Amino acid sequence: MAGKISRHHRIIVSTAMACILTLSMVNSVSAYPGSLGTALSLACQLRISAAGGAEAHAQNLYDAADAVVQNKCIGCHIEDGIAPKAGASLALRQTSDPTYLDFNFSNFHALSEARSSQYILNKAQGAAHGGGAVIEPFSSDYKLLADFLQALALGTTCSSSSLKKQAGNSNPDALWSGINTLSTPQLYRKAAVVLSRRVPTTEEHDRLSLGDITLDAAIDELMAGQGFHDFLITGANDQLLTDAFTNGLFPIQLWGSWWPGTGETKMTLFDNLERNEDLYRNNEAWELWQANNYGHARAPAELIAYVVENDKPYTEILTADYTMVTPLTADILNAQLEDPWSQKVVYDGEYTKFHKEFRPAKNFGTFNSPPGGEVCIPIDGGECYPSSWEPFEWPHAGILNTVAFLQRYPTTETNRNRARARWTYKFFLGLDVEASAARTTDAAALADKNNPTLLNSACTVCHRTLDPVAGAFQNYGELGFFRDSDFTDTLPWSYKLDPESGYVNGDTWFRDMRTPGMNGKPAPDASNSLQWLAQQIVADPRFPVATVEFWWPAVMGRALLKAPEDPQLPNYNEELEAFSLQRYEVNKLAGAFVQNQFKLKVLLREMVLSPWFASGEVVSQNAKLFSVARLGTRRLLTPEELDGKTKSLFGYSVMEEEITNILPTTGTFVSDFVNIALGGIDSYQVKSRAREVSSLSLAAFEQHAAGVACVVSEIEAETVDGQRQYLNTFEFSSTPTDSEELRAVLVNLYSRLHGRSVAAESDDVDLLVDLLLEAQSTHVSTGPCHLWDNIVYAKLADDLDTRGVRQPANTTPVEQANTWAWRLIFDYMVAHYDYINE
Amino acid sequence: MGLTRRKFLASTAALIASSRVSLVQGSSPYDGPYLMTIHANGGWDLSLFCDPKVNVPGELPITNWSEAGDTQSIGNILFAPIANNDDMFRKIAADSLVINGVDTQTNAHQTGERHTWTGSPSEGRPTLAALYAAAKAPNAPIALINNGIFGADQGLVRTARTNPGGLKELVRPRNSTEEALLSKYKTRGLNVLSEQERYNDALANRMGAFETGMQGRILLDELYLNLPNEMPQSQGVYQGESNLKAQIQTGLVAFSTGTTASVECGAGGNWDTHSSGEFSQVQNIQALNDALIYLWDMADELEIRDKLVVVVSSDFGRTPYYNSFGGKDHWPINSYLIMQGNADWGGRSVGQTDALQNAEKIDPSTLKVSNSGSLIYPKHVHHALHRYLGIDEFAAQVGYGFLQTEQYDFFNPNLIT
Repeated sequence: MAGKISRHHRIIVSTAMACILTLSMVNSVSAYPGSLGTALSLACQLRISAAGGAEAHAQNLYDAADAVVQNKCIGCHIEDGIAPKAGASLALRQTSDPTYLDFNFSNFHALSEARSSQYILNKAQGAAHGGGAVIEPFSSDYKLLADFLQALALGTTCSSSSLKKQAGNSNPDALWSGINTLSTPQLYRKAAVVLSRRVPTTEEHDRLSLGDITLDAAIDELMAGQGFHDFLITGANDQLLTDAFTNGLFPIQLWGSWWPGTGETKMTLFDNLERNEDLYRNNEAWELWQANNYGHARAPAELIAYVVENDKPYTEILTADYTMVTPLTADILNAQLEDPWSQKVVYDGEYTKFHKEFRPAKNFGTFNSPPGGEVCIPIDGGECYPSSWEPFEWPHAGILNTVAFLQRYPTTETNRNRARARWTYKFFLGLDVEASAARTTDAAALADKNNPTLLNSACTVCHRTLDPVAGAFQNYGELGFFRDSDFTDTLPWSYKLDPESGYVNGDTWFRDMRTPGMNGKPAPDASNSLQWLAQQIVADPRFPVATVEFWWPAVMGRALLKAPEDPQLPNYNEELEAFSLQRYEVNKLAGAFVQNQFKLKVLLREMVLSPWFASGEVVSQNAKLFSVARLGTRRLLTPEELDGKTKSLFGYSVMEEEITNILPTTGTFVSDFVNIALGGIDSYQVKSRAREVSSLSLAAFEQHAAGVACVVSEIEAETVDGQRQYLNTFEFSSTPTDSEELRAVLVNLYSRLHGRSVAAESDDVDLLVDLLLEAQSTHVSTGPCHLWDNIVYAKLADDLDTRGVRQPANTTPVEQANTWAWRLIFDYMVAHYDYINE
Repeated sequence: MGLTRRKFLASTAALIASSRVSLVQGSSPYDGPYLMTIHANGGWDLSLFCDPKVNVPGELPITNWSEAGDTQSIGNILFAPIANNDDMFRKIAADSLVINGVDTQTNAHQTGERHTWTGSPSEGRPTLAALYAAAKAPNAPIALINNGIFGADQGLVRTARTNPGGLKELVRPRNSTEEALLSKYKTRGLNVLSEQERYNDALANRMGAFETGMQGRILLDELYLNLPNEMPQSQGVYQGESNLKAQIQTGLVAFSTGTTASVECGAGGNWDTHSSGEFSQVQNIQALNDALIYLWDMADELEIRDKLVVVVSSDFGRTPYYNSFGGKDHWPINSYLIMQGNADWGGRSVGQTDALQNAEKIDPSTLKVSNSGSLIYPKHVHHALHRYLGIDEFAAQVGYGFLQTEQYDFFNPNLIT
């Protein structure tokens, strides 16, 4: 111990500790995130006076807490530090100052009296705290600080009753007793729909139920194939929003003159084209441009998918010394592939999936040397393009210097890469710098024209974190081209020609900004500072936590909870407790991620097994807590998950159609007509998913259900008995009656479509029997409905013909009535809560 | 333990015991007033709009237009002589209240838009439009429409997210025979669900969306019939596209058919113009003004002008000087443009900034500049709107009032700054 607590303070803490010690005998107080209120209330009722030995105990208590304070708080809250200068009430001294214990204690005491101990504890957890969450919930540091603050609060509360908020204590394990856990088959099914966009087959379920495979192994198996790839691409884009380039934002911009390797043959086609779809829709150049745009826009998400699918350490998303290319972008980037395509790329207006395939490659397509040398750039596998410039190997830094990332988060001459730094922090270190700037900024600070981001404390509070990382992007200009100012740097001429700027020939970064670097360390080499930054990020303990946060919404179907900021607002205590509980889980998952060599598949499996994914309905306790934690109902499917689920259950998605005029892609009713209404995004104007249903989204779900029901009912009727998907044993030519066979069909429908086991004599089955019989008996001819989705219908009917299992159908009124009745059954089932949720 | 049937029935009273037909008969259209908010995303340059500034000798230039042009005015509403400001303000200044000099206290976009539309820089409050929909028409079929911009409903009301071009198809009625039969069994299905062990309050809340949708089907049919097939085209904006006029069209039709209480719109384009020069803001203002003119023309056509309140604002303003690249950076002082047809408080401007666009302190009761007054913050504007819109008691009841706030009498027609 480096100092002593003053007598005055000891008395306060002694009194407080007496409260604690006595209280602990009657009601064990656990210092977990949440509120101190209940414990304090009980303590004050006891009116315990000071007891012998408490002073020594208090001394130890504060020593321990101060160690936490020195480690976690002093960085910003030191006297004259950025926090006090920005208006924070708490000022602290370091251990090098002999008065630090008294001084710090006094300030904690004063703040506790002024605002309550709970206020301080909330700040440490990130609530309305400029520095964000600095102490992890349920950690040993948290407990040390909470113990001290509790003692401090008791000292003041017993006399002044300053604490107003009261709530139950909690710990992470006890809380989950208030909510059901999904059964193993339910959990497996939900994991399959989320991770692989399909409902498991009956055989897969049987393997699990018979014990032929463990749940862990079964979940691991889900992480393969096209469905998992789509999950990764969608999840990555939900964060990076790079699909904006294909949804209305400007297309990726490349200049032929900057990429001359193939520019003369390919890029010149793009030059001088305006973005006028009507004019160029059927123009080969426009198609090429679209394909080029797609290849670049998807490269970041495809890199993530490649790393994960090949079980590489997830750190490679930033440290990869390669990028992802399609055959077209490989040409444009003059890319070198370890595993090149054997098929020659042809651009004749006929496009296949081949043109959309991604492979890893190194980019040799740009030029950063002044005119001089003569090199041979191969074009289309043989010819040469004589260049007067020298190409060089792009200094790949994973996602960070893909053209898509750099153009999606572009810089300007005043922004100076800060947007890139901001989103790099957000995506890969979990720090939202802008959110941390929520503190008020007075106009005087903003009016400061004397380099405020470097000198004014109201600005430096963020910029000292942000600007060095911005500097690490120094080699990438507005459009992301390497050293686009005369091949030497990216500095604007207005800066270089300004005699007062301090610019010196050879500089690669602004002299009036902080040195490129991160965490106080300068980047050692300007030429590869972004690669250096990538290494710093993946070595930072925040990277695994940020990775959990990055994937949380994709897996859980919910945004992460935010720390509540205003104690006066409703449900503040519950929101804080839920937030803490979630942070605990995030940190636990991050730990598992690190222990498993940054394998994302392992992390995804652990996330699926987490109670945040595996919980079902609230049982009885903590209902309000679960309500603010957005738990207690099943997970609403995203549009992409809905499409995948339907395709796996019925063999098609509604209005599914292959579009091949530009690049092969699949359009569906959901993706093309109701995506936004169902909570989807376009990555450009709508950038966050809606996670709750509305009347409008339900209308979209109902239209989707009607589309499914229309086709499946007619196809089932046209399929010979024994070869149908769901309606085997049903006799379409007869008027149905309530029978054992009919109920067996309906029980299977519940099992497959809703994932629920229901008894043949249950209310659920009774309902469907009654609906079928009433519909059949009251049928009014409405004509064939398959015309609504004729493409899918025709494809399925052709399949039946090919398999030789098609039969005439709907030729009699009874058959027509039966088909219609089943249509309503499928309609009911697919629009149901249990279908649109998992 | 699941909820009992009794509790379920209590929480979803009207729907469960009835058939669809009787439910529909029980729902009635919401007939206003209606609220539309329009957000200029990124930070608008008010010196080019409703807080015009001329260059000050000895200071850096604030506006290029003031080198050759003069500030325009209608009443005490001032505006810059650029873009189509003249057309817009001459058309609707008499129905407009401009509140200038509102300090958002931030230069961060997310905090700025949150502060502007919830009245607080902190997380946790609902937007004005969400609070209004929850107070006035929580059971309307589409009580609150959000067109993809910042929104926060805090669970008070269900936000319907849509793109305007897709709304008509979404509410297309289906075959009535099928609809009737399915509704009957869906209602029965809710009963079956309510008896199951898994039923709880959270599930009941989510199922409420089903009920609201079924209850409001006739109103949605009306909306379908009244929505035009063609969407109006907005003028070009700086970077990207705008569909503001389409948002306005669908919103106003939704109001007029009684399905909706409030709509949150986005102006489109990029207003965060750090280095693109004055032209980019002018282009965006031109498109915004054009859309506002369209809005009020259409409100006249639909005969809802007097019942329509429109609030336009942004994250914050932009600096009172150009940076070295011809753009302007963030400036925390903002304005609100509030409009309503034939409002007796129209034709006025309140609040004030000085020649260098610093906010002035304003006396809450006189609205005059006063050193003993306070800076105007978004909470003051929200508090005044709560009172004017008649949702202040509701806001207080659900915990989102501004109870400890100075009351500025912005809507007093006799007061100007």
